[in-house]
Parts: sequence; C-alpha cells; structure tokens
Amino acid sequence: MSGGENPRRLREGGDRLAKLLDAAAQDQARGVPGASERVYRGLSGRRSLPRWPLALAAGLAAAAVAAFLLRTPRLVLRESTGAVSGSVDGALTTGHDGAALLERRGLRIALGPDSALQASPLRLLRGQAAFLSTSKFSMQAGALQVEAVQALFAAAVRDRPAIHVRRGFVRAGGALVKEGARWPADAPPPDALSNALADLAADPSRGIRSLAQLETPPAPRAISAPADLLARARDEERAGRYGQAASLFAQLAGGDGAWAGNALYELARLRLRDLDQPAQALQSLLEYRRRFPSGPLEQEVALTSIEARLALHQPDGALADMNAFLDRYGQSERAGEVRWLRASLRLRRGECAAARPDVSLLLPDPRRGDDAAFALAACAQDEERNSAPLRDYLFRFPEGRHRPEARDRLATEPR
Amino acid sequence: MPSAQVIDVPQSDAELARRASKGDAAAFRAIYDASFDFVLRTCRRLGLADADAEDATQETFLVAHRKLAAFSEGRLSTWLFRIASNVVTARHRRRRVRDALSLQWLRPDDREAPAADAGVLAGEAARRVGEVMARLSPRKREVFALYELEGLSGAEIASLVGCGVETVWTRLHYARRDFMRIARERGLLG
Repeated sequence: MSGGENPRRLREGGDRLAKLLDAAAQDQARGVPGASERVYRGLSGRRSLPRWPLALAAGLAAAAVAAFLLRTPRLVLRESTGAVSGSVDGALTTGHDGAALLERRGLRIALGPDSALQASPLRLLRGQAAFLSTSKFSMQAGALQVEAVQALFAAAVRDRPAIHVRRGFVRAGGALVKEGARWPADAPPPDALSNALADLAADPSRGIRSLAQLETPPAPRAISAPADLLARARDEERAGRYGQAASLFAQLAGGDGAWAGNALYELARLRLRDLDQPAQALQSLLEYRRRFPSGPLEQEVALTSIEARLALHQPDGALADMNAFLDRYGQSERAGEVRWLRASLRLRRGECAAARPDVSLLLPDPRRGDDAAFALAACAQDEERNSAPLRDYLFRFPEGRHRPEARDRLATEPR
Repeated sequence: MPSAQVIDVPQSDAELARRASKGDAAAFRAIYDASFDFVLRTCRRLGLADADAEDATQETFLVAHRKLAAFSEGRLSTWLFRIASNVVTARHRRRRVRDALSLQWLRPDDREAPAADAGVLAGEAARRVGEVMARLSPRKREVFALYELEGLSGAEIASLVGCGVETVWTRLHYARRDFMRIARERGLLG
C-alpha cells in the first residue's frame, strides 16, 4: 500500500462487520445533549492553579531529602499507624494496634504490631517485620544473625526467631534460606505481614496499606434506625446515585453489630464496582476483616479483596490474597475460579511452571477444561517449542474458545 | 463518511494556550468550547461508553489545563488527541481488569445472554465495538478508530498521531487483524 492511497474501509464492505461498524460510528458521532456544560461544571470544580511552583518546591525538598539520605544511611520513619514510639529503650516500638513503614537507603521495613526494632545496629527485638532490600545488609532477629542481598523476607521474634523468604536468598545463622522457604522449616508463616510482604514487593510505597488494618479503630457508635438507613442506601443504589448510597453505607458501617459488617461489605462493593475507587474499597474490606475476622461475609470479602488488588495493579498482593483464599476455602465452590485466576495471572507473567499445577487441576472441570488445555498447550509451545499439544487441543476441542489463537500460534510458529 | 473536524479557534493555538496557562479563564473556555466535541467524540471512538466518555473528556481537559504551559507549537487538536488517547487507555486498562474479574465471579446462569443480532441497535453496536476496541493495543486502537470509525485519511491520521503515513497503514493492517480476531471470538461476526 503506498502512502497516498487510502484502502477501502471496512464499513464499505456491505457485510455484517460493515453494518456493525457503521452503526457504531453513527452512534458515536451523535451529540450528547448537555454534555458540554455538564463536563465544564465538573471541570470547574476540579481545576486548580498551575502546579509547577508546588512541583518545583516538592522536587527540591525531595532532592534535599535524597541527598541527606545518600550521605546518612539511617533509618527514617516513613509512615505509621496507631501507637508508635521512637524511644523505648532506644528502639522503635509499635503498640497492639500500631504499625510502621520505615526506610533507609536500599532498605524498606514494614514493622508489624507489638513489635520493637532497634535502628543501630539493626535488630528486631520482638514481633514481626517485613524487609525489602535492594542492596546487601545485615541485621539480627533476636539473637539470629541475618544477611540478605536484594531479598524480600519476613522475620519474626516470638519464643524463637524465624525467617520466611519471599524473594531472593537470605543467610540466617549460617543456613542459606531459599526463595519460598522458612527457617526453621516448621516456623509458622508471618500471618500479619503476608500482605505487607506482597505490597512491598509490588510497590514499596504501598506497604503501609496492608498494615492499615492494624489502625486503632474509632469506637463503634449506636446508629438509630439502622434498617431505615439500609433501606435508604439501597434505594439510592437502585437509582444509580452511588455516591449517596456509599455515604449512607459508610454511616451504617460506623455503627456496631451485624449491620456494620454488611454495610462495610456493601460499601466496598460500591466503591470498587460503581465508583471506581479500588483503594478505598480495599480499606473497607480490610476494616471488615479487622472487625469481623470470622464474619459471615468473610469469603465474599476475600474474593472482593482479590478483585480490588487487581484493580489497583497489585498482582503480588492479589496473588497473596488468592493463596490465602485457597488455603482457607480450598473446597469452596468458588475455589476453581480463584485457582483459574491465579493461574491466569501467573501465565500472563510468563510463569508457566508456577501456573501448571493449578491449570492441571482444572483440566477435568467442564467449565475450565477448554481454557486449561489451551493454557498448557501454549506453555508447551512457549517453553518447550512443542506444538503438538496445540494440535491436540484443536482436535479435542472442536468448539474451543481458543481455536483462533491456537491456529494463529500454529500458523506463526518458527520453522 | 464523516470528515475530520478541525478545531476552529479564532486565535493561534499557541497564543490561546499561553493565555489560558496564565489563568485567563476566557481563553481556556474558548479552547474548551472549540475542542469539546472533538475530545468527547475521540473518547467514544476509542471505545468508551457515554458516561465513561464524559468522564474521560473531563479528565482530558483537566490534564490539558495543568499542562497548557508546556504547549508551545503545533495544533491543539493533535495535542488534545494524545492526552485523550492516554486517558482512554488508562480507563480501558482499569475496566479490563474489573470486567474480567466480574465475569469470574458471576455464575454461568448470571451472565448476560448474547443479543440475537449484533447490528440491530446503534447503541448496542457501539457498545460491542467499544468492547473490542478496549482490547486493542493503544496505537492500533487509535489508527483503527480514526480510519474505520472517524473516516480520516491516512495523511490526516499521520498528522494527528505523529507518525508517517506508511506507519499508519502498517498499524491499520495489524489493528484490523486483531479487531477481526477479537470480534470473531466474541461471536460478532456470525
């Protein structure tokens, strides 16, 4: 096709596709009454003065802090929730409902509740902490000497020290602890920090969010006529006034009892699916889990939490949530879906080997067998240059959902 | 076939942008009035449904307002198109994850039954085309929307997206291939 010629447009073809595109194009070109004023009003409310002076000031401040940190690799408190004290016996301590995110050059630390961390030399005196290092560092967990290079791991000091390595390698008291392993091998997982570990891995600045569940809650207050409030919230939702509905659910969530639990879940659902506020939705879900750890909606909350983390582009956090869900609800009727989701996420990241166990389990599932067979076949082609499973897939699934892609793959496979 | 809408701003784009960036509300309003239809239609062409397209239009002007000081040459339409396309891409990304998850959580009998005829209603056609567009890569989506839906020429598209005409045709070729594949998977082509 030369640069000067315009090829025939699909809309001129006269076939089904042409009609579809033509109808769509006409619909898109129609005016939307009142849209211009509506958008301008919204814009006027959100527009602000040019921000470059603020941005410049913030940049200079950040540069100054960075320069300071480069010269002085000391531990800096980045954020904290709940009760934190910086000077109890020379260590940073967190209360029962407290948590802290700390950093120094090349190292981020999420300190859990009821924990104490000595800054120099770095030593976890008690409790739990997650560490993400981008350079070599050493520390002590209780009396245990720990060394790590570019690793993500959790340390716990209870009756004895323990290490759980999420990524990289860690040397704990002379033993090499590999990725995914614990030391000692029978140590319990760092329960309160599993999400913090995932968040630190995905985006260090988000580490605090997982710990936010440990915040001291405002005391629940009595809500008068909660049934009326709930009815009003549902009416608003049905009318599509999601903001108002969320506001009413939030009032109800501030109360006590089962009303509050249900309202927290409803609030999260609205924020996630109708208000496009996944971060706030996640906060509501975390609050539900904190206040109602064995609540009747726990399973729904766990599923919605996975959805929120995916919407927030926190794949590691989502994976951690999926792992937790499958550990706890492996027999649930939703387990197959979560298993498939976990496999899909890993496949998208090119982690065929990690996805294979889940995918294999789904092969006999009548709803997922097609997807699973194709996923395994695609993996075989990508990793082993073996296209036979793809041909087998086309043979076994004459109505398969992935036939076009399987054919594309076979047509474009390297000779 | 609809033709390209050229933004008719009575003063030079750069001059208006300079005044608007210094807080001249009338200048900003002039840019807004001249460009609103173009930006809204761009967002819809790129696959957003009505309410989403309005939100994306608002976001586009919000970004434009913040960055007006950086606009110094060229056409405002080209500049606004680039911003709108980025905004739409971000929205598609968020929605793809959400939709995929929503489908995962629905039981099979909860899922929406496919309509009997994909081409009966224009609104329905736009929605279905939008769903396919959402799955195209951003560059392919731009070219496909501008050529197949907006009806621009190769040269006009090249000017708008900032590439050569040959590149437009290459992207269009792959965009068509992907569009057809996705549409076929979704049963839109029979």
